[in-house]
This record gives sequence, structure tokens and C-alpha cells, in this order.
Amino acid sequence: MGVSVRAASPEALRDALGPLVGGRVRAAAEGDSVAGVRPAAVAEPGDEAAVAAVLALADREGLKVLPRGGGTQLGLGHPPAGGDILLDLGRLGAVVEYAPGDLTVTAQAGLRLTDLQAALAKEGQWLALDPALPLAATIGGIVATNASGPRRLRYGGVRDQIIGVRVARPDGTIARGGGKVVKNVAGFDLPKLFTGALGTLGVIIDATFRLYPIPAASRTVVLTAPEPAPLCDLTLRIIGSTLIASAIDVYGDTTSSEGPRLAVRFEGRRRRLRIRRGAWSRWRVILAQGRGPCAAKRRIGSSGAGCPSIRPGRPSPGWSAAPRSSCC
Amino acid sequence: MTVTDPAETAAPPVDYAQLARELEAVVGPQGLIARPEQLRVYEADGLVAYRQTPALVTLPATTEEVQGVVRLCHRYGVPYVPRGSGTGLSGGAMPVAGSVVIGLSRMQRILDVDIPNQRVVVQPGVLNLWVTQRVAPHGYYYAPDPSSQQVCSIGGNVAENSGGAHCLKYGFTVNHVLGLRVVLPGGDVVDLGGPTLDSPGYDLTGIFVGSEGLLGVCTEITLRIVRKAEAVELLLAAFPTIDGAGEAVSGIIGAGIVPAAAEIMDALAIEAAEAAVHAGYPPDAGAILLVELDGHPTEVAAQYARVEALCRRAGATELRKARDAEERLLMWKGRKAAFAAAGRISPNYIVQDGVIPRTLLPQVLRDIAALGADYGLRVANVFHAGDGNLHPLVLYDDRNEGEEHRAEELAGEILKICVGYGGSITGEHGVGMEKRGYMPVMFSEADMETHQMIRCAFNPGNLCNPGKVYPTPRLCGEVPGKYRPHPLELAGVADRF
Ligand SMILES: Cc1cc2nc3c(=O)[nH]c(=O)nc-3n(C[C@H](O)[C@H](O)[C@H](O)COP(=O)(O)OP(=O)(O)OC[C@H]3O[C@@H](n4cnc5c(N)ncnc54)[C@H](O)[C@@H]3O)c2cc1C
Repeated sequence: MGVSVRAASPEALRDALGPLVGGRVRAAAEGDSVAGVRPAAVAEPGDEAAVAAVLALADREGLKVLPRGGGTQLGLGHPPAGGDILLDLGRLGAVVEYAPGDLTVTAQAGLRLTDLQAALAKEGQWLALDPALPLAATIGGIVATNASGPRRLRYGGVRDQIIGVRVARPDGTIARGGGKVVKNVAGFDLPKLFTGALGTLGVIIDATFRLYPIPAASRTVVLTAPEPAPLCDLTLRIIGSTLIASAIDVYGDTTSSEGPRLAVRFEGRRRRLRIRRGAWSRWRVILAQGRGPCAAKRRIGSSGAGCPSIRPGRPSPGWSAAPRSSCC
Repeated sequence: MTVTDPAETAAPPVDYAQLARELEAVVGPQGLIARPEQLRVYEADGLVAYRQTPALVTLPATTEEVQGVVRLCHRYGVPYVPRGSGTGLSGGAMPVAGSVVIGLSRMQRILDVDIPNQRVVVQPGVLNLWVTQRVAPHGYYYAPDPSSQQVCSIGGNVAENSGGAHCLKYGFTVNHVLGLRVVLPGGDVVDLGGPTLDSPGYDLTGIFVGSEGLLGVCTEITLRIVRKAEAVELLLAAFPTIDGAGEAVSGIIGAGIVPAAAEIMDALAIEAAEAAVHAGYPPDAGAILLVELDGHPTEVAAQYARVEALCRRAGATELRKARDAEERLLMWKGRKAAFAAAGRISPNYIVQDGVIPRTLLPQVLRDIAALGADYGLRVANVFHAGDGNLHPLVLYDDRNEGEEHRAEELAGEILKICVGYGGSITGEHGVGMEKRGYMPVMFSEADMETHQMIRCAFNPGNLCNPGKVYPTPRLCGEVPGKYRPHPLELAGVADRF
């Protein structure tokens, strides 16, 4: 290539990109800016080869590439030091391989979490990640930002679920790390390196995860207190007890109408949850050990079954990402 | 990317006598081993078929001393090999020619125990089981439990990302390491990760765990500890065929139950185990399945009933429940002795470590049996059934002309079968020296070149544990070595699992 496409013009860049991505290239709109950086072109590759071709071109020409999934977390990290091509991965939206019996799935980077969860729910399974904005967030973005939600307490974060990754290196070379089996120690753990790397090491093409069965039932209990400290204290007590909570969140503050709250979620078979509810006596022990203010300001809940401080509640917004589970 | 192999570059001859004097100034006289007969102690790890005497062995006692040793090695251009307890089964801690071994066995202190935050900080030479022993009075334990746990070090566990029978439910070493202090090649000391779950930036802890000593020497580790379960139950189910046992495991997992452990043994493995330890396994079973459940007592009871029903549906001919901890131990004993027990039914054997998607077990075992028949050799199988980790034992007799070679070839072919079904060449023993020739079966040139970029970022001079994990062209196609009992096994201190 004689003249640098970058030196030429944004149009020349888009002309050069067009054939690589089947014509799916356009000028950037205002909404395509990343932290104030407006790229010259938006390219929408439809497959791995197209991603590789765009990156190889950029590498040759010294162009800067900004990968984008659902665009929900582009503000994370330092603002990019310039950007020529915005690489929109939304068309890489396939479930590559789903093995329900092995509880593993390989999904392309642009697949939205909500769509993946819907596909998995048909088999009664889910990817045990509940990050914010599941409707928009994509698999690639979730991995790149190491996004997780309240239930990381029980299931771990992205690094604990990801078992394989395919990436395009900045020079366009496609490389793989890990595999599609849950136990595997062959070679460096590339999947973990790309988790939370914010797209700075290359572009994620697809990722493989271990899956979990969707719990048959889910119950959340919410506690209030005049200030957060006793709730935090209680959190440590719950974690240190034999109760197995899926998630524990302390949220709200003294200025909010309901005050600081502590939400604790339990999941499992219906029968097991009844057992957990039957274990209120243990809750009471835990609560009684709590420092004064928490115990003092217990709310009497109608369904508290004799345990005054516990009432069914509506927890924090990020809490709702549970697939097909019910909150009482 | 250019990868420098110290063995290939014509380096000027090293003055080892001078290096030894300088090392001694760093680690003191007790920290340096230079006498040939003492050096031989370090010539192999658990893969005893591979041997190489090191030039020198150092036993540093602090991070600063490790740093001093690493700096000297770099100044002299001498390769160095980190070593924990030397129980690794793939030759990861085997010295390379002219190398300095950095043994961590003098760094054995538990530095901090923080029960409310469920974490413990240890030095790398601390033995796996010590962590559990230390926190057990508080109702906690350290979850990754390789069967070498009485003797293997946490530093070695970190380097191998070791697992145990219970990693099906509780995860591997990497899921339990929060932070690391590492002496990088070159000598810089860095802290990776931290005391909490997420540290901002790259997951360098994640990449260091399982890196088999290629990325530096870790000198401090922050571990998570786990609350001990209130109840444990163990079920033994006998099946006429291995297919039935596999079907039962699929049924259990399909029902949303995650057992603490699920182990299958085939008829040949049962025969060997019975001959060795008399665990009382049903003698004419085609396969047995061991399922351990743990958690809340009522929940465990409910799950147990369910598991029993699923086993029955899959054709179990006999179901046994361990009545107490003692009986549990006995039932586990046969399984834990299975590797060493192969010696009862065959003069020699190779222990293989491959992974397959769990649901393909019956198919893969049929392929392995057919292949064995082609080679005229028997293969016994023990299997971490929940996560698809297969340990085929290739039986042979080295007194028969050419049989050892055929066995080695068969062991290699089995790995290829695993990869062909979408699996891996190693689930827990690591690649090390032994399996580096098989990495190209699983990974493309581009994959491995990319992995090398990580190596080069941490260890550009390739002095830190060179020649391990990734093949060099000269060594492609090497076949794994035969099983020889580890001295620990002979002494009855540990069983392979
Ligand atoms: C009888 C027997 C049973 C076994 N059972 C299991 C099992 O159930 N599950 C399992 O996963 N493994 C098992 N193993 C394998 C072995 O015990 C594990 O791999 C263990 O983690 C090795 O620990 P080590 O201290 O002996 O390490 P070593 O063998 O000394 O070293 C292993 C690797 O770690 C590196 N290394 C050691 N310390 C450090 C450090 N501080 N910093 C950087 N790198 C370091 C070495 O260079 C080497 O590459 C078994 C082995 C035997 C002999």
C-alpha cells in the first residue's frame, strides 16, 4: 500500500475498510465517541476473519482501534489516546457451541448477555454472572471489564467462570488460550489475562464458560438499620456462619428514605429454602450477637415468622438480573 | 517474536566457583548446596524418569535472599529453577543443565491468619495441609486438596494450579489465591493481586497461577479459606458397565446437584485397588462410582436420596452409604491407592492425565480400549468424573522387547484422543518437561507464539525455568515417560490420585 490511508482522509480509510467487512463501514456519529474521542470510521465485522483483517490493516497503517461491545462501560479506564477505527462487535452474536450436558458454552463477543441467558434457560442453565445492564452488555464487554454482580459471592467472578478464549491480537493474528473443558492446565491462562484487560491486549472473538443450573427458587431478606456500620458487622457474621448466601449487598444510606439496608439472597431447591427459613433461630443468634443499633431498630415485618427484624424486601437495582427466579 | 534459549546461545563459560561464593554471601552457608552427592537429591521431581543434576542449589530464607539469588543468576547468565517439595509429576522442577535450583523449603512460615476476612498469608514452602491444620480450630479449611497435600508446597500448588478430588465443587488453586509476592526474572519484587477479590488492572495473579515456574519465583501467597461443611455423605454405587456410571454422573449434574466429588473406576482399576488395599469394593462390578455430598445436613440428606435414585435409574446393582468418617476413609482408600495399586496387576505402567468433555466418557473409553487392543496393551481407568479429568493407566511389561516403547506411544495417542474430543492434554499434572511435545496437538503455532509473548514479558532472558511447557523444535514429538513410584509413595506418605 503506497499512501497511508490515515494520511489521506477519513473517506480513504472507510474505502479501505469496506471490502474487509462486507461494506459494513460508516462515518462515526456523535454517539460513537469514546470519552470524547471521535473515530474516523465505524467498522462492523461479521466474522473472525473480518476482525483480523481490520486489525491487520490498522497494524500496518499505525491506526488506533477501539473495540466496542454493548457500549455500556466505555468510560472505564483512561480515556483512549486517540482512535481511528471503532470496531463494533455487535454482529459477532452467535452461540458457537452449547453443550448442556457438560455445562459449557462458547459464545461470540457481541452476543448480549440477556440473549445468551435466554438460550441457556431453555435447558435450565445460566451463566452465573449478573452484572449491571444485562440487556445491553455483551459477552466480550463483560469479559473485558471483568463485570460481575451481587452473586459473585457464591459463584465467583468472570475469572472463575471463563475457561477459554479466542482473541485477535493487535496484528490480526488469531490465538486461543484455555479450552472448552472445565479442568485444564495446559499453557498460560490467556482467558484470565484478557479478563478485565479493557480491550488493551487484543480483541476478544469468543469466550467459553462453565455454567450452572438455574436454582429452583430464590429468596431475599432485607434488613434495615439507622446507619451502615451494624449492617456491615452483620455481613461478616453471615459470611462467617454456615448459612450459604448467594449474595449480600449493603446499599442505601442515611439520607435515603428507608435508610441503609442489607439484602441477603438465598438460592436453591425449594425445600432447601424452607429449611433455611426454618433456620431463623440461627439468624436470631447471629442478630443477637450484632451490635446494638441493628438490634434496636428492627422493623416488625408481617411475614417475619416471629423474627422481627427480617422482612421480605425489594433489593437494590442490580439485584434483579436473576434468570427465572423469584423474589419474595 | 524471537525466543532466546540459553542452551542455544553460545554463552561464555560460567565461573561456578565464583558464583557459588557470591551466592553463599546472599544465602549463608546453610543456604547453599554445592557437593555433588547432595546435589543429586535435586536431580528429579515426581517424574523420576527424567534426571539432570543441577550446578548448584540455593535454599533462600527470605524474599530478599531469593531476589539476591535471582540477580546473581542474571548477572552470570545462568538458568535457575524454582522448586517447592519436588512432587510435581511433569518434570517442572527438574533442573536444566548448568542451572541453579532455588528451593523454597526454608520459607515455611504462615505469616498471617485473618479469620473474619477468611484469608491466610503464607510463605511458598508451607505445605498444603498445614494451612487447613492451622485454620481448622476456627471451622475453616483450605479447599484445594491434591492427594499429595501432606507434602506438596503452596508455592508448587500455585505454579501448577493444582486441584484435588474436591475441586469439582470448590475450584482449583487459582480460585483460592488472592494475591502473590513475586521475584520477577531480573530481580524486581512485585505484589500481584491483593487482599481482596478484585484488584484493578490486569489479572496478573491469574496468569501467574499455573505458569509452572516460568514467570518468576513467588515468595508470599494470600489464600482464601473456606467454611467447613456441616455434613458429609459418601455413596458408593456399582454398575455393570462404565456407561451406567457415566450416565449416573450426567443425571446427577443434570439434576442441578454439584457433588463435592464424583469419581469413577473401571473394572481393571477396581481389581488393582482390591489387590492392594482391600477396600471391599464389589469384585464383579464393571465400574464403581463414588459420590461425596457436603453442605447443610438436611440439604445433604435430600440430595443423597436423589443421587441414590439417579444411580438406580442408571442401572446401579449395588448402593452403599458410608456410615461414618471411618468407613468414608476406607471407601476412599481404594480410589486413592489406585495409581500405586496398578503395580499389583502389571510390572510397569504409565499414569496419564487427560481431560475430555464429561458426557463423552463412554465413547472415549471405548476408543481407548480399542486403541489398547491395537497396541496389545491393557489400560485401566480412574476418572475425576465430575470434571472430565481422566487418568488412564497404561499397563506393560518392560521385559518384553519393545513393549515400553509401545506403551509410551499409546499413552501419547490417548492424549490425542482427548484433544480430538475437544479436551486437554493435562487437567492437573501440568505440561512441564513431559508433555511439552504435545502442546502442538492442542495449540496452533499462533496460539503458542502468543503464549510466548507472555513468557517474554515476564521472563525475556528465558533464564527462569527454561525448556519447560512450550516445545522447542528439537524436542517436538517427545513421548511421556513411564510411571515409576515416587519415593513418597514408596514411603507410604502420599498416594497419587
Ligand atoms: C503421590 C502424588 C500425588 C499427587 N496428587 C496430585 C493431585 O491430586 N492433584 C494435583 O493437582 N497434583 C498432584 N500431584 C502433583 C504435585 O503434587 C502437584 O503438582 C504439587 O502442586 C507440586 O508441588 P511441589 O511443592 O512439590 O512443587 P514442585 O514439584 O517442587 O514444583 C512444581 C512446579 O512449580 C514450580 N515452583 C515451585 N515452587 C515455586 C515457587 N515458589 N514459585 C514459582 N514456581 C514454583 C517449579 O518450578 C515446578 O515447575 C501429585 C504428586 C504425587 C507425587
